[in-house]
Amino acid sequence: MTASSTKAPTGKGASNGNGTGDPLATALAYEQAITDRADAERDGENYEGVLTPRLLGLLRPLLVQPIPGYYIGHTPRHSQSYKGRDGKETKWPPHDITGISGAQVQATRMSNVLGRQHWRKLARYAKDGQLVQVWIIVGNDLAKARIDETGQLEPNGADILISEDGWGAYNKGPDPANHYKGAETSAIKRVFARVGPGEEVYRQEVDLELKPEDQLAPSTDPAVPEVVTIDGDRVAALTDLAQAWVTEPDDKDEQSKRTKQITRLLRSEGLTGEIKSVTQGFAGLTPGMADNVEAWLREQKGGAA
Amino acid sequence: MTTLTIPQTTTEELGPFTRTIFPDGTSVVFRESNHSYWSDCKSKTAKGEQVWSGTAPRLAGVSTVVSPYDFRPDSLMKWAAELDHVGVARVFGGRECPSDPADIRSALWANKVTWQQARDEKADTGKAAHEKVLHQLALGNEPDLNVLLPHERGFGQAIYRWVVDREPEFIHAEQVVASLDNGVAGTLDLRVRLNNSRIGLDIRDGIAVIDAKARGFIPASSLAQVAGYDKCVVDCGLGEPADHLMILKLLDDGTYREIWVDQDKTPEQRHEGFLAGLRVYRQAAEYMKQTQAALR
Repeated sequence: MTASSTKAPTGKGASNGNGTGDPLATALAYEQAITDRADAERDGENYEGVLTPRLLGLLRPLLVQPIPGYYIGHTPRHSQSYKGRDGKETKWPPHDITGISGAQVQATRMSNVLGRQHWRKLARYAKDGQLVQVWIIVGNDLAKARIDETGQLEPNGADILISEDGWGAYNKGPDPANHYKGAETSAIKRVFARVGPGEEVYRQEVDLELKPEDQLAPSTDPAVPEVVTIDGDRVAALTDLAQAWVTEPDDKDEQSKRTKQITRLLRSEGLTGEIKSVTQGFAGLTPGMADNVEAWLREQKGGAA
Repeated sequence: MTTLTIPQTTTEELGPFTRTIFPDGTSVVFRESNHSYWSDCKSKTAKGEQVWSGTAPRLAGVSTVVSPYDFRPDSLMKWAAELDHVGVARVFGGRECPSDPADIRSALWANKVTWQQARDEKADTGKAAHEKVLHQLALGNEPDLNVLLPHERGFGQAIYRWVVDREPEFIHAEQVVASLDNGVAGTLDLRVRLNNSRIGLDIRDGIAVIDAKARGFIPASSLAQVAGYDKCVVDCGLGEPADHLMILKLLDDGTYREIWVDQDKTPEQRHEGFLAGLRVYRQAAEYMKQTQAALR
């Protein structure tokens, strides 16, 4: 499946879509290709309703595919103005602003890639809606999760694989309803980006589309990299090696310490997601990472204190 | 490895301030919003609202008073210029560059690639790695690297790599410290006990005060800064002088470098390095006052 390795379509004013001349159609086709790829990943992993750390690892490259330029807005510096309470007109914004025009495209990407049941938004409002804290969580059984009065996430039995939060504020206009909506909008796009969809926009690695003829070359290859992990035999061999080192001392505390050392070693190699066991962690290693882990374990075995 | 089990200070939330009370009963208050340290704080009611303010004297930050050590700005200017060059290449690479410097500046600013914006982004990246990985490890948690954005994860890996290699015993983390006699305060990253050395690493035993940096350029002031934290630790009664002072330079490729500060000197000599910077900082302020008074 290679459909999702196409470039993100560029903006509303762009002339280099997919040849149809309809940037919206181009953007929708691009999102559909990502959805198809996610479906294929789930099928390949024999998905049965549970989002596992491994499956999430496979789906994440699709989450972070660039948002089509059609959904990205640009507001030049001082292009707008408003009157303050003193009647004085103020030019706005103070500098050029580029951002996602609506959070819906990010929400749709989350649902298309992860499945709607595997992500959830939680919000906690303050100051009559002028201030809001938004959490986005990814995992299983998410209906159980709550935010406590201090704003901390309480899983309450939910299986949370990713959690991100952020604050938003909005105080323009007299109607509190505007505050709730405005504050949430300001927060949720940024929090979605932290989870994945739109992160390139917040890193400003996006084609700004100031002028169609001035388009920049994409800063990264948008092709979805294939993540190749080690096979079962290698996992078993590494597990044996680790087991031998961990159980070398009789002291249970020392064994526990060594197990923790190995999970930290896996993190130092860049492994993300929950590590439920050393073996499960090994299964997520690429061959290069596995070589490093094996060398480290052999070094410990050869010279353990 | 043990976790942070020796809380030798107590804290108290006072509106926007946090008071840190040291073992000897002295205290400082810290305001997060502007990173200011005060000897105390007070509140009053104005127009029905409780308003808080710091009480003089305001304490100078450890990182601020060591700034005289960066007396030669060439390296910093070179670094800043290089960041702008990278920005120009990213924005105009392969295309015609405007002839008006103002247009170039505006384009860099719009694309958020000026040296200031690049520096601030780096600072955010470093802050995230500090708060979400290093501090969490010190608190006994084992954070997933997913708590960091993809471009931040290399720094998180580097932290894990260092922890695996050194197996530090965390004593203090993100700890407010102060030297009230010298009118300075700050927040140190880490104070640890090094009691292990992985094969291939040099042997380091004893207490170390460590400042982790995720940025590329490490100015001379950073080394004096760590000495300042150690001086404050001693002066506020949190512990003995450290055996080692170190800058832990985190790299985005998942590796790290250790920069040991004044290795062959005594703790007193290391502290003197910090105090020398403090004296210049105070005298510079005195000179500025005289100038301002004369030109008023």
